[in-house]
Amino acid sequence: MKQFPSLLLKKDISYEELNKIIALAKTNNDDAMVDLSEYVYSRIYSYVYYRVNHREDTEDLVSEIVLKLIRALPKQRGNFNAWMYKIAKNAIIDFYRRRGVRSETSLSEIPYDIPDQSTPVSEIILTKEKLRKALSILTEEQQRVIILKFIEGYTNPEIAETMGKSIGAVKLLQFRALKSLKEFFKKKGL
Amino acid sequence: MKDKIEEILDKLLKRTQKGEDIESLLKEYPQLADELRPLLKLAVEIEDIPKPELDADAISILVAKVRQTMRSRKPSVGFSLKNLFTLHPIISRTVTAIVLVFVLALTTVFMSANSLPGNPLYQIKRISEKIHYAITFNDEGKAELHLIFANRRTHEFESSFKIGEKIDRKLLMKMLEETASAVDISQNLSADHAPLIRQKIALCNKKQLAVLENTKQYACQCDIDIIQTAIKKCRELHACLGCEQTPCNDPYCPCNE
Repeated sequence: MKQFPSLLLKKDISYEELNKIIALAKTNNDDAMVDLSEYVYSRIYSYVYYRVNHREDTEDLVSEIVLKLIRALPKQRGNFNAWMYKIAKNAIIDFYRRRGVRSETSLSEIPYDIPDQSTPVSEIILTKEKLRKALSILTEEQQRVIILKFIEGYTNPEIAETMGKSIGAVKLLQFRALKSLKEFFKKKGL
Repeated sequence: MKDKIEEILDKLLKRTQKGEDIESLLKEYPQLADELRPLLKLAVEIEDIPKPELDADAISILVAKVRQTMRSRKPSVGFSLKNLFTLHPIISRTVTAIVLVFVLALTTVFMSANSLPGNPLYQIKRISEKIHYAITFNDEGKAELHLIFANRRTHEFESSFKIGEKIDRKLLMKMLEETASAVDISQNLSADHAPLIRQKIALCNKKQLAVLENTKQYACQCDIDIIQTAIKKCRELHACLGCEQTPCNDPYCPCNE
């Protein structure tokens, strides 16, 4: 097993550290640029993974986003994470536009092994694949809240800043997203 | 005030993340328990899903691509307009604002060039003349400027008379003052520069005399005196310029009287 090139992939870094890396990367410092690329890669990977249907597509798209971001870095202003997710969001939209398909997957297309109807939600073993398909019924903003909050572990204020919304709006999106997911699993008998 | 359900859900989610039991938490909200229970359980399940594994090979390839992109970047040499917008936002905004103000000021001054007294742009024209004069430090330049201003006032006097058929006395005074100032300054000039300036002043003076004589023909009787006075001053100025030293072809010249 190869070691990751940097600890940035494994540990959480503070805003101060991140800002230092960004400032250095803007001066075309190679090491800072690599650190920043790894940071971006690790942060957007889940976001892209849950919004794209194949692992190979995820890898390609994440690399594309990182390179796009590196090229556009001199123009970056304001909150870095918000900017990073905006680039990722646009890249995903472009990806589906290129493919000529909608990002949402039809419910009927989702192949599930229908379990016993009496199985309560709590007893379902939720897998990445099932979640990925279930997330596709949500709006883009709801998906983003679920991924950032429960998968990436961001706090409400961080999500609000990243999405340019109020904390109240984030809570409402979170409630509606969980409710829609619950309804979806219920309909599917999961 | 009662909390909204999304607020309660968020509070309970925070507590489940700290390890509190869902069922015991729901006892605090018995009326919402049925609605919140599946949401909390679902949230916990999503959190329990392991994060997608990152592919070390893919990262290594990406790092190589990033390094390649860095190498292919041309080092910026000297100043380019593109660099201006990659500066610190405050600097770039300030520079942009200065450039905009400068362009706006230049455009306004340009537009005011043909304005006449009474036009709002005329004041801008006069202010720009004062600024131009204030930043001119040598006598030769100042004499040239007085001459330019004298020619402008002559043109303005003639144009405003054609439009309104009335004499603008202030403008007439200013026209003569500018010419007189040019003469005064020309007396301090070196022998190299003085003759050319005085030649130009003579031409301006001649033009002013012609305009005044023409205006006199159509002016109201009440303005005849002031025009006559102005003509007299112009002729005196003509004499001052030393035309008596050479044969003078000017029919209005006092030397020919």
